[in-house]
Amino acid sequence: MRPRASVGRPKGASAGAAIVKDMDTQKLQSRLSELIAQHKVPGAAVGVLKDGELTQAAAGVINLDTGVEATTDALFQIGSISKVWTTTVIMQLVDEGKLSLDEPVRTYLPGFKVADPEVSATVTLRHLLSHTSGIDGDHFQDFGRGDDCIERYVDACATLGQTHPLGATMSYCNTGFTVAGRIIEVITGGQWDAVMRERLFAPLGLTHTNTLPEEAILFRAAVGHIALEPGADPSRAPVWVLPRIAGPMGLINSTPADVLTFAKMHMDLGKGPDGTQVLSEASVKAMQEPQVVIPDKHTLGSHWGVGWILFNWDGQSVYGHDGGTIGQAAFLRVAPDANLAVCLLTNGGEAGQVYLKLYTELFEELAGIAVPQMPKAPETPLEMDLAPYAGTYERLGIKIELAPANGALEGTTTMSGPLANMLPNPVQKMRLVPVDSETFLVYGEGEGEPSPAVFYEFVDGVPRYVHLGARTHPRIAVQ
Amino acid sequence: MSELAKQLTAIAEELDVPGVAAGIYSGGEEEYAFHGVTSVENPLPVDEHTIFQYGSTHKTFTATAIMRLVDEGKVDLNAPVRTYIPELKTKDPAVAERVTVLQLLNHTAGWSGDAPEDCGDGDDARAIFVEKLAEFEQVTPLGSTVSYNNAALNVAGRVIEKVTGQVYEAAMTELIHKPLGLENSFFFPNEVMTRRFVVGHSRSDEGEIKVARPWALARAGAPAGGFGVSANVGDQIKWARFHLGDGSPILKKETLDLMKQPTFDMRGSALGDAVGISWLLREVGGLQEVGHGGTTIGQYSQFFMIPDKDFALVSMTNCGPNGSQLNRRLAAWALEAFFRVTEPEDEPIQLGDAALADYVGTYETVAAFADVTASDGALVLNVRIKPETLQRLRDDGEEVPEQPPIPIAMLAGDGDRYVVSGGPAKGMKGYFMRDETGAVTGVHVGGRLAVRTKESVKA
Repeated sequence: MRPRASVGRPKGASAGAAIVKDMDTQKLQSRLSELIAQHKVPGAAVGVLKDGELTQAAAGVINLDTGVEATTDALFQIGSISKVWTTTVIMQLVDEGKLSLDEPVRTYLPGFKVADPEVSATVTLRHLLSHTSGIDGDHFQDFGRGDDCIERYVDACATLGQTHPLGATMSYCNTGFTVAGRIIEVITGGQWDAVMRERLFAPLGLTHTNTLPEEAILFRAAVGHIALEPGADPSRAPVWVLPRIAGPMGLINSTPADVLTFAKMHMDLGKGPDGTQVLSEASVKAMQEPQVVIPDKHTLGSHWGVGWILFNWDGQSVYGHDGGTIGQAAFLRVAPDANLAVCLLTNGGEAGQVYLKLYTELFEELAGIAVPQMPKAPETPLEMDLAPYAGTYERLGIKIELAPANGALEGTTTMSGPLANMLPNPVQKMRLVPVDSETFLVYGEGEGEPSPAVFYEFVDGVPRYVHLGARTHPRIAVQ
Repeated sequence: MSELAKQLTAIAEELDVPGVAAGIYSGGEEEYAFHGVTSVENPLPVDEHTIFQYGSTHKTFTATAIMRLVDEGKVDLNAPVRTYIPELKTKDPAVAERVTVLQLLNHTAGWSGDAPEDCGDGDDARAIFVEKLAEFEQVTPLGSTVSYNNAALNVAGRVIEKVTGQVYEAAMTELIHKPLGLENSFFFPNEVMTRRFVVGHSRSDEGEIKVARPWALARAGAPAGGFGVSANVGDQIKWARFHLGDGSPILKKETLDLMKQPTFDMRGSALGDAVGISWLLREVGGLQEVGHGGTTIGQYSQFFMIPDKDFALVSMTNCGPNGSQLNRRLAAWALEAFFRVTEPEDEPIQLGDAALADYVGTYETVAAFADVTASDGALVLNVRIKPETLQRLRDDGEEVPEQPPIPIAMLAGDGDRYVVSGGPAKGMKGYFMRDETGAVTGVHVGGRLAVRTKESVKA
């Protein structure tokens, strides 16, 4: 059992007297232990911040090979939750009058170029931070560990094509965040890692947050685990982290307590733990303004804000973000009206299932909020013409080929590019079972629970896109 | 419990070393022992999988890769380095024209060996390092004396990059690690940290043990054993067995043997009696030792072989300065236990004030001053790290321990040789240098030459 700590107040101020309503460390600890065992998650840490009081628990191990136990001060990779941190620094620069979300990126990066000249000239930070630029989003070319890697990465965006026309829909775009990271570097004159330290980690007083492997190695750093073949139990991932170019997209390492200190700054309308205004109230609110509808409303939220994913849970506004790296998965949800925030950090296995069960229970118990559940396949299989859905859907690094078979769509997902080289199986079989005329459930080979796919923008009954894994995939051919 | 394990545990407990792994290879048999934990903050028992930084022992990897390129006819040891790095520049232009590949590998290039340079963490770190070499002071004439030279090894790393067309770490993986099956040897923190690894520590005189920061050294220094070069003890023993073998599958036997032949004398130095091709050579009680240890931030390791006896000892510790004391004690035990050899105690001589006055003065390296004073018939050496060096170390997040005074005693015989007579470095040897007039002009400390400052030379 670990003592409760207080976030957002100096140590001692809480006097240890406050008792979180319905919240108990031991109960959280035992539930987390149960869930990770059930879903083959090697290790996890969770923090629950309710009415300013933090309850934490950790279970399992940080590395299956070494057996080091997970603790609440172990460092996990928070992955793409980092995008909200990068966005926060962008908004600080907006506060200082150094950036505008609606200026073309070229105002700040004069040489900025992607394949489409029109997009190159007109894409804005708002597009990048709300995933609406349409620029191929999974550009992961490795430019090494040098301080110039982000600059070189952005130069190499010159050949990137469009997944969809600028602003037409949303498709999760990692690329855009490293471009935003480059803008931070150019405006501040500092390297992204250093700027994050100076502008966020230090003012928030974060002692267990950093960005580089040589920093994390001096902490109890969790290692990711992946299934080396479909259905296999998770094993230690061969490398710890993605290349350094991925920094602004997702290379922050942290603990639930530190992530919740960051979240609390947003809940406190920009005020840090010592009362200083880390971000303006206007910018905090601007980040929570809906920018675009997410076509697949089941997987993440209903809309994307500026950096944040926006959810409507049981009539309440919730914001947050997920993160996934090489075998680590992270989840952050903030329900400001209920004064509740929860951060779960994990290192492999069916982390999404642990997230869904744990958050459903916590939000119900602590705030009476019902967390939406995944759609279910109808008991009687739908009788529908699947031919219009068949075809090839493709974006940079991913090709999905689908054909009707046995009352469903069957086919493969093929990964290519640098990221595929880190995975044991670049080609995965999949089966899509219809739920309604737009929504299907995707059963991946060897994967436990299905995930949704949404077909949309129908022309003569034929969909133009399929949205899955938060990304859109334009149809390129009819079989 | 084996005798090795008993000794290791006893010495580690006495010296308060948090974690150590040791291996002995003797006549076809390997034996290992482990003691303690990986980190005082996140303790995990040290075992056969535990990865330690092995630091400068890696210089012998860089040299071996060069020798493989020699065997393949791609590098000539006696060719000027310019043959491979045409853009090479040094402060003394004549040095850049004449310095050979061999002089990079036997510490005789003569330029400042420890100059701090920020070359970034990119694949271009070695290329940038070579550009900056032109600013390094030439401390001794090219080829005149052995003065330990990390910078020269980094240039050798750049030769490997130029000849292979690959980034250093990738080239080494192809030339050395893969063919020798060194599957537990790494360069990058990203590779090390998914495994069981140690962090370095420092122990104060009061016995407080703290984690040493930062973990890694600058990437440009990987060829000399900096950055994150790391391995488990088993891979280090594999390295020894390769060098005790016939060279297969990567070197000719005669090339392997050549690396262990003296290329430059350094009698009296802390490093040994002579340098081979990167190997440091030393005679002890009639045995010929071939080795090279390593020191990084809070990690101290030992590596030596006795080829005539088909023997090798490796010990890797995660603390200083007591880690190096452990290494010496373990070596002394092994030599006695296996070969009945005891290193003779050095016999210091008493000198009069007039004789001692010859040595009194201030000496300087790129990073520090060394003040030699005489009192009560004995010499004391005080190291003062230069303010700019301190600032740089602190900027890198390193905690710089106080430098206690080092008592030294002169040894009988020629060559102005001394031995450290007390403190953690007890037993370390060195020598003073004189010019043709007999005036003392420098002192070798820890294998590096410190030059007497002009102000301190007696009129």
